[in-house]
Amino acid sequence: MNSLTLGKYIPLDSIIHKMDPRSKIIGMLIIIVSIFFPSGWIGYGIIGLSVFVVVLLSKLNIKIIFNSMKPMMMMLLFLLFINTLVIKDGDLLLDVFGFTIYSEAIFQTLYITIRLFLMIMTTTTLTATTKPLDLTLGIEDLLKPFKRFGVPSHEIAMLISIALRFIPDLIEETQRIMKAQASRGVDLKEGTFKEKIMAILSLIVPLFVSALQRAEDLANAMEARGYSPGKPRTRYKVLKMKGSDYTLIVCSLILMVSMIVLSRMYA
Amino acid sequence: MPILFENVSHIYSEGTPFRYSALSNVNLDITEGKITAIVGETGSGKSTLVQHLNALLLPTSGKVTVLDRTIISGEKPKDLKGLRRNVGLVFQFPEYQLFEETILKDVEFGPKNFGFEDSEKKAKEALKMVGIEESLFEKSPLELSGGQKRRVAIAGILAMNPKVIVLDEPTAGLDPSGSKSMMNLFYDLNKKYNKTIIIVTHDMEQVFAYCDEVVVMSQGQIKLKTDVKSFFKDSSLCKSFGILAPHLIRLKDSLIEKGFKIDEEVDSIESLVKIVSRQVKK
Amino acid sequence: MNVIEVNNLSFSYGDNINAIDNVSFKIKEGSYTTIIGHNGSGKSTIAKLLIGLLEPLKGNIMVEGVPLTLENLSIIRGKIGIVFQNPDNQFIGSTVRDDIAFGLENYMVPQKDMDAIIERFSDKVNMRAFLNSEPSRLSGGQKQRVAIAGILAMSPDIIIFDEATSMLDPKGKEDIKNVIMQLHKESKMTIISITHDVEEVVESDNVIVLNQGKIVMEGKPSKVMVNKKLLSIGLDIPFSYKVVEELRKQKVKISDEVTMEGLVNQLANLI
Repeated sequence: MNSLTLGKYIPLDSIIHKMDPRSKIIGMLIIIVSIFFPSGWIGYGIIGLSVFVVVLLSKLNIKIIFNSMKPMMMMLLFLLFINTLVIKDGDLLLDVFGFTIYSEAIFQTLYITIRLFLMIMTTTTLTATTKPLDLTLGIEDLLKPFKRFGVPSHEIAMLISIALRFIPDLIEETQRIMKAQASRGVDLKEGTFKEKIMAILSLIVPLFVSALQRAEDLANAMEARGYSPGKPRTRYKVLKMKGSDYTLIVCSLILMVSMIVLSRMYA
Repeated sequence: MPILFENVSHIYSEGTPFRYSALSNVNLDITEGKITAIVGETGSGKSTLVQHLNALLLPTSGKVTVLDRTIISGEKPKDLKGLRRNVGLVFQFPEYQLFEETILKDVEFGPKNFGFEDSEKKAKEALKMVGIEESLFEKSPLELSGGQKRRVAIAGILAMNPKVIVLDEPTAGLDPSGSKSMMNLFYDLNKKYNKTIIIVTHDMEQVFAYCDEVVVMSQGQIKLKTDVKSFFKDSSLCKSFGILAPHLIRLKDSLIEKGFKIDEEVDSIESLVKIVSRQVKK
Repeated sequence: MNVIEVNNLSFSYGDNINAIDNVSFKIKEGSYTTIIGHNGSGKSTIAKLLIGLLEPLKGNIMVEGVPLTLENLSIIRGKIGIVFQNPDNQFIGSTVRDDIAFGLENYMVPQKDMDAIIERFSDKVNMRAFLNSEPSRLSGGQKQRVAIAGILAMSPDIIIFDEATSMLDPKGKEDIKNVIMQLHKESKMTIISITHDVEEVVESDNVIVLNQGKIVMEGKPSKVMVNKKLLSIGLDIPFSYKVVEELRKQKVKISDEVTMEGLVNQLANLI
């Protein structure tokens, strides 16, 4: 459960928590685009600092964000390994029995690491400070202009919010089924290949059966309470932009422009 | 062979904001060869307690002894499979663990995992015990009714021929006749096959009619362990734990309040009526 | 006045066996009706037919004089609310507040009116203190109370409980039964409760007994629940009546009784 810090809402009382989800989504998108400009160490330093300030304002424990990086570590190590094999530019740093490591390989990996880290830091801040339902409301509102092109913004938002609502239930269900099958001698760690396949099946099949049952129950409950996709509805939660929201958007725009300028200078 | 909890505590998510102490300093001795009921409000730690019996959960502190194995907190338990083979745990709504193409294959799954050579024979015996007809063996478990599915799931545990059978609310959601035959099955397993049975339940009528001993839990602690007869001597003990006593005991207490003299032990409608009918005008 | 009239209703899940077989009954305004039957007897199918989640094979259903058809579905669902069995699978919102709002949104209630409605009905089921709670923090009984509030907020005339207490612990069961009684006595709502709980049945005005898709008995619980036929179709008779039968074996003269209170009073008069 502890590895699930990624994407989890953490209820705190901060200026960032109180912001309109729309401005947070827009801000996040702008920052992510900024990260993609090759703006060099100075650029990444500036972005890092800005995101760090946002994290401070949100009162989140910085540890949480580092924790959410942990699942990426293996991937990054693998990337480093591939890069050292493939990239043979820059200074020769190490040569052991013909196995060579060049400085550029290290730099490239570091670049990717920093980009990934900044992106995860930004998205984690968004999801940790925004209630899942607010997030979907924000997405719904932002997608509204695309409705005339046939984008079902409301249905997408409903889909996401229901998925989010049932994730904890499904996690609990998975743990329950795992325990039930462990009581029947299932051992996911040991056993032959065939036994492992059976072990996984014994988990997945019941999970599907139960998820389908849930889906049917839920569809009935929604329909019985007058829901019908495509039918107009009113909305309980109304989003409202405040001064802090506009500040965030303007700041992130300034950030992006400076990254464009910096990347030009580099080139 | 004993089932023994010594100073057992269990804390979920230790070291996080979600820290939750589910069991605190539990000492309990469950008698072999009996039917023991574990009762208490939702969240009192019943499910956490029984999951220690086959080491699905390990104690945060303390010691659990089950049959010939001892699990001590902080030590990695050895030979978990041996323990799980001998302690069959049936979860709530076990019908949700069925997954095989046929009923027979599903019941064989457990014995096969434990390396039984005669898993098919064991599975057939277990299915017979729970009252599933042979004509259904090759059908998909998903085609069965809710009550039948639950029987198949329970057969899946019985087929492992465990010495101890632990059941978490086995009759939840069943209709009255389904519940009754289910409880009769556990009663038979205890009386005919000498299995130790541990049932987590909310239903005091079942505790009264089928169980030998009762363990009352509240807020992660054992509040009482006693035999069923003395637990239901009158409704006052139940009341002190916020438990509604069985009908018969409540009736007996109301009649005493109205002036009837009932000093003898009452364990059935017949025994109560015999006493009452001597004291009324006919 | 009859708020529901069901005439010659049949339904099949497509396997040639009629899950509901030529069933007719009427429900009076403001009455409390229980429907009992063993698992698979067709109880829940009837509930789903009544709110139009399933379409009848034959027969018709009238709700307050309006025939239940595809065109009228929205009107009918404004008149009938339903609480299902599983507390988790009908909690749609991410908080209690949002969940009660869900139905209001569907019925185009203006946003500015919602808070007052949500507060009023959460109060009615004693859940006002939990308005901002997430479902994972609530007990089964509390979730069912939220479901009831969500339905009451849509101000229906009829409310169906489809085994709404069967997955709850004793405290949750008691809570929901109290809410049902309160709705029946104070709000004069028409209540249909599908249940296994014999003690709940004896509290109701009227009971319908189903077996294999057919109505086998119907009437006042004090008359129906003393019929030994119930045992042969997998149902139970009330504890008090079991005692009455035993007393009669001992030659005690006692009249039919389905509640514990009545039984104790009768015996107290005989001492």
